Amino acid sequence: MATSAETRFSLNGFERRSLVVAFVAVQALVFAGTYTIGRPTWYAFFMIGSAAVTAYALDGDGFTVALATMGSVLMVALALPLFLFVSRQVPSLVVEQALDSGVHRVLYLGVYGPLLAAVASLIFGVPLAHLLSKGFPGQPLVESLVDLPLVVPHSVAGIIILFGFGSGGAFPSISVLGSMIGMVLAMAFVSAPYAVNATREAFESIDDRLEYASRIHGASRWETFRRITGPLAVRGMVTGGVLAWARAVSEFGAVAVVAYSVSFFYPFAGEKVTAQHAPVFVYNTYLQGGLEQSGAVAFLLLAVSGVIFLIVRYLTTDTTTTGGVV
Amino acid sequence: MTQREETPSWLQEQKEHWKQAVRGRSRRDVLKGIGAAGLTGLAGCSGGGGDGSDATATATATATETEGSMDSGGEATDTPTETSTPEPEVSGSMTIFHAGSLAPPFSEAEPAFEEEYGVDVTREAQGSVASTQKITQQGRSADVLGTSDFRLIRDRVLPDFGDWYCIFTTNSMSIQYREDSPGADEISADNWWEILTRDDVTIGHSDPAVDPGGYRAVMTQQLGMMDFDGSSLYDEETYNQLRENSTVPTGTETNLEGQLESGELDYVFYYQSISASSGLPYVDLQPEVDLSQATSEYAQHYAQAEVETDSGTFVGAPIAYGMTVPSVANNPEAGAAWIEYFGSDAGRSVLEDLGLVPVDPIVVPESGQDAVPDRVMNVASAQSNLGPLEL
Repeated sequence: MATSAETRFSLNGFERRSLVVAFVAVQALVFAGTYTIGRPTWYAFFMIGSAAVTAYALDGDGFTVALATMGSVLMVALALPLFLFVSRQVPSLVVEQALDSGVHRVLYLGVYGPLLAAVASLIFGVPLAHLLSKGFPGQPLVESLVDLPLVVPHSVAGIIILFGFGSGGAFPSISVLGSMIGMVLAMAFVSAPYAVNATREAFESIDDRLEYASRIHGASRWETFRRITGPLAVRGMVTGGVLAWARAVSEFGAVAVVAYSVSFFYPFAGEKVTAQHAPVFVYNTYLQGGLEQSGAVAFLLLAVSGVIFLIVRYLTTDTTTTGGVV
Repeated sequence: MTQREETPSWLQEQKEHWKQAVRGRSRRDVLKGIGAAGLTGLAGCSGGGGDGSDATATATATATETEGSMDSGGEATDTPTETSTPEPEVSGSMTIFHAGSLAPPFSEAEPAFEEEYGVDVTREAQGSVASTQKITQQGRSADVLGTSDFRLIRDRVLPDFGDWYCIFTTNSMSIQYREDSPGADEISADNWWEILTRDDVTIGHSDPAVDPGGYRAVMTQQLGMMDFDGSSLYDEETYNQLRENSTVPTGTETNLEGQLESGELDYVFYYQSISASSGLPYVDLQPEVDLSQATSEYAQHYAQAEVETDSGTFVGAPIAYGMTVPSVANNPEAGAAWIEYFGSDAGRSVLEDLGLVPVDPIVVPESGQDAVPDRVMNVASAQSNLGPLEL
């Protein structure tokens, strides 16, 4: 059994890639077929069945087959609604929206705003994560504070930001309502916990002895962080940053309260413009134009996000653990 | 609390206007339509039907209705008489989609209604447009749809998702502020535009493109510069300054109060029903700008206001809330009972208590009156227009 598994796994890179392409092609074909005849349920069963069969063909072990079968059930729950959403799109509407300059601004803001929030969460979150991984007195208190925004309903989160940083709050001179700062603050509030927690996990998984070794060889703590712990935790940081970014992209409630429409510098126009965060814009498109039109904008947002995910994953998996990203 | 004491006077005033509007129409129309309508009334009277527990309550409601009709010269189309066909039993559960500004009266009425009719009520409050779209776009089903502008139902729900609607209450625009808003100690109905055009003032209202409350706020600001009875409140320059101070910080009005309290906004434009039930002070605006009067004189004045948005141009009109039982309702009889309740004294007093101005009796469009359920027709008057509003 072990030998057969060995041979089965010894596919070279080319075979591996063509196998993936073939699998995806078959899936797409079957999905298109079942969708056309109006029986997407059949595809759901096909997806689970094909995953089990492929797992058996690649690795005859019952354990792997069981894992693949169970996992594919989750994939059906996640992917099938998305596939159906994508196939329901009216291509002409999608193209029309994709060419709309207003939609460009929305997509730019919908990527750029969350990026600022994710970067800010990382800049201040990584040091905090490092501290948390080492432990300190009162740590449970800080941990709870970090996690608390996860349970706050999002429109309430928006109100909290307004009261905290608004004219009646702690920094009356900062204008948060309808400003980029407000939008980033609202996004960071709901997304920073992901950045902190993912980075912290990465720091915790690093063997302490590596750090000791570095210190014994005369490296300062700064240098140890820069050359040992930082690079080792970089995948955690990237994951945390991507999670925080994604969470911020999808945020509707808090942003709708704090920064319904935002004025920001738009480099393609070379001036300040006003636009809405993508989920807010999608919702308003729905109210004004209906489901199809808002679906087209949502589809574009999904496509842009998908491409960004792929790029980030590509950059991080293609390198060794020590990164190459940084 | 001081603001609340003022309520009766404006309420009374507006009620008068609506009564007149309703009467003015009915005198002419009812004679024409009396044959058909009378028959409907006869056939459908819920009065002393065989429907057990709620029979008495309904009977009382209709009796009061008669009095009301007598007051106005007995011209209402619904002449309650002995029942000939028993009303279908109301039971089970029902779903209501409604505008955010209807949430206070609806939640207030819910327990009493549930008790009286033995129906379990589930409500979903959202913007008027969003509530309408849940039926027209998402394929969801509700037994009652209530919007802050009946034209949403008339234009978007009819004819595919319903055959009729009723106008059951009105509202007016007002300005709410904090005790410490700049100029709060000086502001009154006679100088609000002077305070609101100062440099350091931020005014908020909801998004005109997606919320009736938003375009109505802009209309209110526009109407101040329009001549009414030969004079206007302010000039165009003041209007431009008002617009300059105004921001749109939210889609629907539900977030405005929080944004006002947080200090980010100094003054907000929204419905008087919201202002009156919030703890904050507010300015009760002139009838020529508050969109509350349904006389033709005022309506012609209101119609001068025009708000252009991405989703179309909206023309000023008196605020009139609409309700309907969509054709996709699962429990249409319960839906009709809900509307009947708001055509009764009990429902009207709930609306009044929460700062709205009930239309008495509720009005249904003459053209669609055959489709109106009997129990609604019993408390309604069929008209081809309400004052200046085309139905």
